[in-house]
Amino acid sequence: MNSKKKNLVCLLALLLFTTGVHAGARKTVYPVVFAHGLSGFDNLLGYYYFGNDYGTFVGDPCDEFLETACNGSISSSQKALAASVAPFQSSEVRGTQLADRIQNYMTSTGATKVNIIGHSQGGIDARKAAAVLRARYGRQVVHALISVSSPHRGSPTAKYILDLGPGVTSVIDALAKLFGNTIYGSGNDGVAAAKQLVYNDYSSTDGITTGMKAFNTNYNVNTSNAAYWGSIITAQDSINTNPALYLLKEGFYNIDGDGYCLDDCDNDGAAGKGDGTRGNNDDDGLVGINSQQMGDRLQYNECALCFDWITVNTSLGYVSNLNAPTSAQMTSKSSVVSQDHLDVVGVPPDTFDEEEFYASILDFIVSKGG
Amino acid sequence: MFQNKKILYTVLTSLILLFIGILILRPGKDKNQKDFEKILNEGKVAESIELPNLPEDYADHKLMEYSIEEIARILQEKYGKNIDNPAAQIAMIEELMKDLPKLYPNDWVKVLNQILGYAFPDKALELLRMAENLYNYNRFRESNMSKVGLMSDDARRAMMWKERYRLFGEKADQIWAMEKKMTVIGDTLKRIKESPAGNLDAKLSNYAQTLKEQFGKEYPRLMENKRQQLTEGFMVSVQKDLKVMSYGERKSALREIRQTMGMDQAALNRWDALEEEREKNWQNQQKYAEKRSQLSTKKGGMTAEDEKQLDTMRKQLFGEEADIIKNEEASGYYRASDERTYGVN
Repeated sequence: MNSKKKNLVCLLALLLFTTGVHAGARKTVYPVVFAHGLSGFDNLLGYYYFGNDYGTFVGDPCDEFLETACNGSISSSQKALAASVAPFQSSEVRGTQLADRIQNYMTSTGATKVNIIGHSQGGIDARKAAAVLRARYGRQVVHALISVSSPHRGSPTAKYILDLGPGVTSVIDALAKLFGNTIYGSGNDGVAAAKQLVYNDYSSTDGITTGMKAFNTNYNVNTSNAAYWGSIITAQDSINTNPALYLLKEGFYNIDGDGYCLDDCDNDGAAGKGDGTRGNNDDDGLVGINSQQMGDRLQYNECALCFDWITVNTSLGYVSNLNAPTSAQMTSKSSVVSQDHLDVVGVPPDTFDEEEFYASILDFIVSKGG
Repeated sequence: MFQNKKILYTVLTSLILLFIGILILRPGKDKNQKDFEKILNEGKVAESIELPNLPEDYADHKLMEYSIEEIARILQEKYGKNIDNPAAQIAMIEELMKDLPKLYPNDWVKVLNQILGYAFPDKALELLRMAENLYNYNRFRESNMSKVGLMSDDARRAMMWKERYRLFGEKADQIWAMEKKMTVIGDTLKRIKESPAGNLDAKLSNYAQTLKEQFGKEYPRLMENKRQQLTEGFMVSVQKDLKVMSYGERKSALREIRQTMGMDQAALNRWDALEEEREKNWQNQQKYAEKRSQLSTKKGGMTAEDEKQLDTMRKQLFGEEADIIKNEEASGYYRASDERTYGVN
């Protein structure tokens, strides 16, 4: 091969590597732990949380070409854990449980570190778990921590439910309508779960301090707990939103999550405020866009003719203090994935390809050394 | 008499109106359903053509990168050997139905028919019928999403299987084979959990046997991917047995369970160390909780000095995790009141 050809091959290889366009996801260096949000792992409105309708988990690799119950878009030697914690609890409780599950997995497999992908409250639990594991092992245990649709700065829906706004007869009933009947199982505390997801301390008279603001202070973005922090943000116009969320959004309450101010200046349960315009693609049915960025904002690039890939939106900068993002980080609709809160997990109706979406996150984690 | 007739006419008119209303308001078929129906009624299959050579590196690329003829050739290679297996059929159809609607939003059903015809002319109509059923099944799932979320597990299972059998017949058992296997395992664990304490060996043997029976030759692969979850599932189910054991008996029982589930010597040794550490931690939690309770229930409540004493004790007992435990308590969560699940936390 002459030098010109060699250079061309090297250039193409470099291009493929930098754009992430290649055959499915590469195997991550460390196993990937999937942390679920509210509701049980194997029963979110009757569906598998990180899976499809055939009982296949998105982290299950295919070992043979014709194996069917697996994710063909990930490496055949990918290691992953679908961690299961209490369906409805605060993130103090769930984060500690998640740390236990990860420690169990590492003990069984001999893995020295893990990556975590957390959806919704799972992304918040992951921050606590990373801190617990750091303390237990005396070193960093989590390499990449990626949140998807997580209400890092609270959700107005949680406060609306706790306030028993019109249409809500009880906290438990409202959570059951949104997330299914696992709320009725033992070990759940729907009120604690909802209080967790309000930005400020919900009650000044109960002798305890709850809410995302205090939680963020305790478990902020911190490179000693995880080497890489990034988040994927979702929002969708009402017409395409999941019927359960649409009902909440239009019938009960409009989140209007694209205005900026520090803390919860309009007292709706989430930091920031609205811009006064309803239904303009500023929330995903449960969480506003101003609540979701943690670390880097990631862009999901869907591709019908090639494998999907993730890039970093460098123009918006890094959220290193979860309680003090910039105005652009709270209001920009750049790189927002147009899906509702439940589309990115195994709940229909959607045409979203969860298997390829999570494969692209796995591949991105590889590019970040995890 | 007149009065009765009047009632009769009113009832009949109401029924007719209701019937017409149902006819008008019933959910109509969408364009895709109509396309499926039309092609299947006509029974036309794309004419056989000579397909191009198999692209060399097709496994490294997405199917949709290729021409329709090339896709058909790749499908022959990929699914041809197992094309009679409904699980392979549905996997192939799903793969096509993921991206075809994005590339051919107006006539993807026709393109699907063309690809199937090129790839498997003898089976094209059967495969298209399956695609139609899958499309209708997905619509059924969408329209019943809120309803199934509030059902009991048994009722939901019954409803879903009824629809699966209605649409796919006996093939449903093969299509949802993984779910069926996992359901059997879940039911086995449930039975073990509900059974009285005792006969741990028999329970373990029953569980291991169920896993092997359900997964057959896939068992090693299953264990490679899910060993920890499956082991943890069993641990949770036999808490009654583990709780009545002495520390020594329990340690040995946990080791045996993990060994039976295929963990190697290095993993067993790591677990021994972790179990010891956790035992010590639980004892420390109890010690700390007693002290905390003693200080907080005394007359006048806790003083600043008491708080300081607790801080020191936390640091001594829990090391680097002490600050995290302090955060938890401020939020109302006390680890000592957690239920201990042996082998899990």
